[in-house]
Amino acid sequence: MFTWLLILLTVVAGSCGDLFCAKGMASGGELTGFRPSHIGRLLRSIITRRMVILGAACDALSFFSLLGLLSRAQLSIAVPATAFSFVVDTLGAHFFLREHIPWKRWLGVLCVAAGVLLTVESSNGNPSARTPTPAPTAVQTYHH
Amino acid sequence: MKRKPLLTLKTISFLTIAVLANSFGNLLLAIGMDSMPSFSMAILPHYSFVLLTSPFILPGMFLSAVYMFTQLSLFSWADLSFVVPVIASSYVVTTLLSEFILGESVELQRWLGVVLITIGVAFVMRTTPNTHAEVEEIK
Repeated sequence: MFTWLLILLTVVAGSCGDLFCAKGMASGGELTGFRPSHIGRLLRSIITRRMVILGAACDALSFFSLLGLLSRAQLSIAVPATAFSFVVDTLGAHFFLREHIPWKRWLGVLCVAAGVLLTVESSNGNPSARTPTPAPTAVQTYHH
Repeated sequence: MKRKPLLTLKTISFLTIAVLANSFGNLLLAIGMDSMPSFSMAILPHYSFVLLTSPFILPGMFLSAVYMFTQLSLFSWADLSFVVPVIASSYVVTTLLSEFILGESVELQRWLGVVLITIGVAFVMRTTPNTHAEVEEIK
């Protein structure tokens, strides 16, 4: 039961992290050039936005719950949760960020989630294989 | 009427930077961590010294930071539901790096995953990156 709670927390907190970061950045923050002043302005705008900081906190929560999950369950149980987060992210983007999701994008997201599942599951059986990193999260630094 | 291209050069450039920075950042971190001693509090100063002087760890961290900020910047003009699946291409790049640079044997199942991710990313790339702007234009 506790394992399932951790899976839920990992996925939901990770997706909330993405949603808050996206919401926070939606009000501006485009990089307009590559001069140090442009990059400095972007960094300042990122670290001073409450939504982005909240997103980072959610990502941290997701990271620690994933660590807790890995200490209790095998990677083959933890990994499907990370692949499922692509679907939760897309649902969240539709319902909370009011993004219009065309059927092609849905099909793409489902293919990506299935592909990630296969890729990471096969790495699990091969100890020498490098597990690719999760693309989903902006702030989370853990390699799913 | 001439149709506007779905992807601008800026979006393609930022997506490419994010995918490559993520993949190469993780590759460097993985190589660097392989040569680290086992962690224990007793050897913390030595561990920190080896970590900070490794030729792989700091560049790997720098590339991970580039990935993080590039993705956050992308969120300011592109949909979350567009950016997240497209950046999953880094799984494909990581698999290619594992096979061709690190010489790891990549299983058939993983190649199948790579094909599925590529198909998925191709589908997502066929959609408009910012659906809010699209709705505004229709109005």
